Amino acid sequence: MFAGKGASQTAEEESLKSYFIFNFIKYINWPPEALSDYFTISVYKSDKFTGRLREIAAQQKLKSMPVQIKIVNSLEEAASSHVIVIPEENSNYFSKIFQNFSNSPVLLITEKKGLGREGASINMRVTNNKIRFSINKTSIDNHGLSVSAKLLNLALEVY
Amino acid sequence: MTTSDSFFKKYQKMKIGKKLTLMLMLTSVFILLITGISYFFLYLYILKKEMNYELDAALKTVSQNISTALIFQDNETGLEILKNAVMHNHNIASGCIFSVNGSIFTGYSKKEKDSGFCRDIGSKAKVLGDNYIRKIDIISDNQNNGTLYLTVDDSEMRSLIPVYGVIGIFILIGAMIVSVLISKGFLKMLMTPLEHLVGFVRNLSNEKDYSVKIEKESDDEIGLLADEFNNLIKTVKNRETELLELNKNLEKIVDVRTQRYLRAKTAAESANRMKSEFLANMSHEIRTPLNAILGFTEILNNRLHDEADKNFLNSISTSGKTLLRLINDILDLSKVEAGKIELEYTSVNLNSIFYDMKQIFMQKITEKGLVFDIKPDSDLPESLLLDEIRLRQILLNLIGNAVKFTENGSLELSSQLIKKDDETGYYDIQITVTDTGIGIKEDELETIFDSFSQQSGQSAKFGGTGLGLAITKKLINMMGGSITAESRPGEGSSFIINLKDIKPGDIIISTNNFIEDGNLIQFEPALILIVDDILHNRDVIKGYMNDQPFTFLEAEDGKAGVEAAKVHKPDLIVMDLKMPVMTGDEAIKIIKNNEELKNIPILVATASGMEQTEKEMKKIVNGFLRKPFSKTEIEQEFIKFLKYKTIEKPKDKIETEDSDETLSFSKQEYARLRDILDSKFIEKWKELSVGLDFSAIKEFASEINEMVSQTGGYTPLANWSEELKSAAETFNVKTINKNMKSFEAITAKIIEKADAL
Repeated sequence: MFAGKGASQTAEEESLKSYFIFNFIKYINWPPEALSDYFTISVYKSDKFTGRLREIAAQQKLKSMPVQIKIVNSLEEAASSHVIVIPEENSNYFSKIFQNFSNSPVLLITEKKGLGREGASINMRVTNNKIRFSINKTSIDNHGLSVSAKLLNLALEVY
Repeated sequence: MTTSDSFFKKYQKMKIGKKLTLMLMLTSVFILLITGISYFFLYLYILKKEMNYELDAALKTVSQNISTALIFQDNETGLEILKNAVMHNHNIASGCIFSVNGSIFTGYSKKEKDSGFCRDIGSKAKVLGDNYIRKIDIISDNQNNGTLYLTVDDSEMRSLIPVYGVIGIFILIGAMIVSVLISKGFLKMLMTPLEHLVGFVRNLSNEKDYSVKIEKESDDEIGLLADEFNNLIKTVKNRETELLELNKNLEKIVDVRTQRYLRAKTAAESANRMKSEFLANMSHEIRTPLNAILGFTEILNNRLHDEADKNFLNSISTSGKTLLRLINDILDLSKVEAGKIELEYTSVNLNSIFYDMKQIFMQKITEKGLVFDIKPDSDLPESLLLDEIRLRQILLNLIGNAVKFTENGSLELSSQLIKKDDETGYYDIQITVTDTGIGIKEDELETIFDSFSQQSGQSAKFGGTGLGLAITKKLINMMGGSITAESRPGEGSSFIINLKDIKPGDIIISTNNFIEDGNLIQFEPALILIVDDILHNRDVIKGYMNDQPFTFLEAEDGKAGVEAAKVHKPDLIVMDLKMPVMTGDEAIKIIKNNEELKNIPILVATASGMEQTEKEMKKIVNGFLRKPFSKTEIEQEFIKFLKYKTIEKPKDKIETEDSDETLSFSKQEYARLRDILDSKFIEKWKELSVGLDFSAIKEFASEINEMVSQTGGYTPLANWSEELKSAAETFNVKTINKNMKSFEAITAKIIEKADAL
């Protein structure tokens, strides 16, 4: 399905992961006070996923709100995000971002092996040429969010 | 149609008990059947409904549960969910899930191993429809993520059908048994009193004892019936007593009447007998003086010379003759009425009788200048079983009338086949005598067949006794036939005889079976086999026939005769009956059963007095020669079967036989005979030689016979008169003609003897 792993991710993998990211959100609930005019998905220091995410966002709403895709380069920029996607190459920023937003209603999505155990809400990886994911329910709960049992059923690991 | 008919007949024959049982059984079976079938279909409907509900629920659950897995393309989880749903729902056979792009996401079947079967499920769904394949789109958040197919498994439902059927049949049988048992119980209650009643009535009609009474067992309709029966029996009993009394009276009356009738019957019978005796006596008594009157008028005629006297005498003579004929006719009629005439059926050739008739009347017809046509029907067989003598009498009468009443024009005698019964082989025939004579008035047509009925004014001109047609009709009726007359005065009449159920004759008779009187017979060459153990008998035949071109074969017994017949195939066989080795009967049977020989005619030589044998053999042989046979008799028989031609006989060679007795006659006796003949019979003979008056000829022959016996019994004349008499009685024209002619030769001989001695 995918030509390679790690740095050399294909466009197809990127597109599918964008689709996954969009759909993960559907199974996560935010507290009502955390939702306002826009639903914001931020990609940290990269334009990876943004193109495909924008295409999807143009057709669908999330939580009955129009979807905004942003590239954020700092923690401040990321402050108003509902979802922060940390691409694999920027995984070293994870712990800083995780600590900064540990009490905010933010969903952290990563794609680096081991980050799930470390607290990433959802961590995607490729297994048997398929995209699979782990969910850190404790972390999600700590962020004041809730996850649907249906999604939990599909997770390879739940922490 | 036929089975229901026969069922209905069987049902009608059943006793009420069986009928009731049958009806009860049919009713319970019918009701159970209707209920069972209704329940069965209702149950099926509910099952189906339930199944549909479960299916809908399964579709919804699976589509909801599986959407996440579909979104995140997790085949394993998808399969897990689908498998769970299919495995746990016995109404689902398999399921398939397609991604939104149309590719198979996952599939599971109870039967199949991989999801390959899903490939054509879409097209199957279109063909099989909602009942077998269900489909739902998997939607979440208004997003179509794929399609779910579930195929229906109704095998469980179907497997219920035979189970229910078997249960149903058991219930039906059980119901039948129960209904029979119940009906038996009911019937016993219902039928026992009824059977008692039936038994009682049957007993009553057998024993005829009307003093008994039925015991009433219940107050229902049967009890009422018993009451009514008792009333009825009482009434019948009363009636019987009345009837018995009436009967006693009636018997007395019947006794008296019967005795009265018996007396009347005896009286009537004796009166009838007396009438017949009286008639017979009277005719004899009248004839004797009448003969005297006629004889003396003739003698007187020779003595009278005054014309006026002669005319008076002529009137006396004519009246006397009329009287004589009348007496003969009355005698005939009374014989028919008294049933004294018995019909004798023999094989008869109708055509040959027709030609005889023509010959008989030829002279009168020629004199009157009439035409006589004979139109026989060629479809009629050559031989029919009829009473030849009576038929001749009938035809002579009718044709005699026709000739008498026709002055110019023609007569026609015709036969016609009306119908042949294919089953019995019997014939219905019609014989018609038509003339162009004076005819009969319409009002007289009805009475012409009555006794003593003559057309008005007939007797004056035509004479006759008025009994001819009455006799004719009675004879035809005796034959089982009928006669009708049609006529137009002045134009002519037709007399139509209808004879029914005439059997075909058993012997074929050729038309030329008589020898023209005065002619010699010349046969054509033929091979004749004579089978007889006595040489003398064979020599007689050979001797008589030595002037004919015959070749004779001889055999001394039946066996040799059969062998000779087989080898030589003769034209004719003369067979004796009593022979050694093999009798004539046996030989005849063998020959007649042989395909090649059966057509050879056989004449049986019998001794006289063997009429019984002849009757029995008539059916298989072709004719008889009665010993001792004369040359003429042999010729008579031979011409029936062999080809011949006739040669005019020289006139002076009329034979008269000399017998030994004549030698003892003296000259005086011859002279006396001559004188009597001369004075009494020659004139009469001349008169009778013209035309055919059968009764007059018979009378003439009897008179001569009587005269001969009184004058010493001149044998040739005695024989001659006997023959003529019997010929006249049987209307045998040939013999009459022959004898009337040979009278001249006989008298000539007597005269010769009287003069010579």
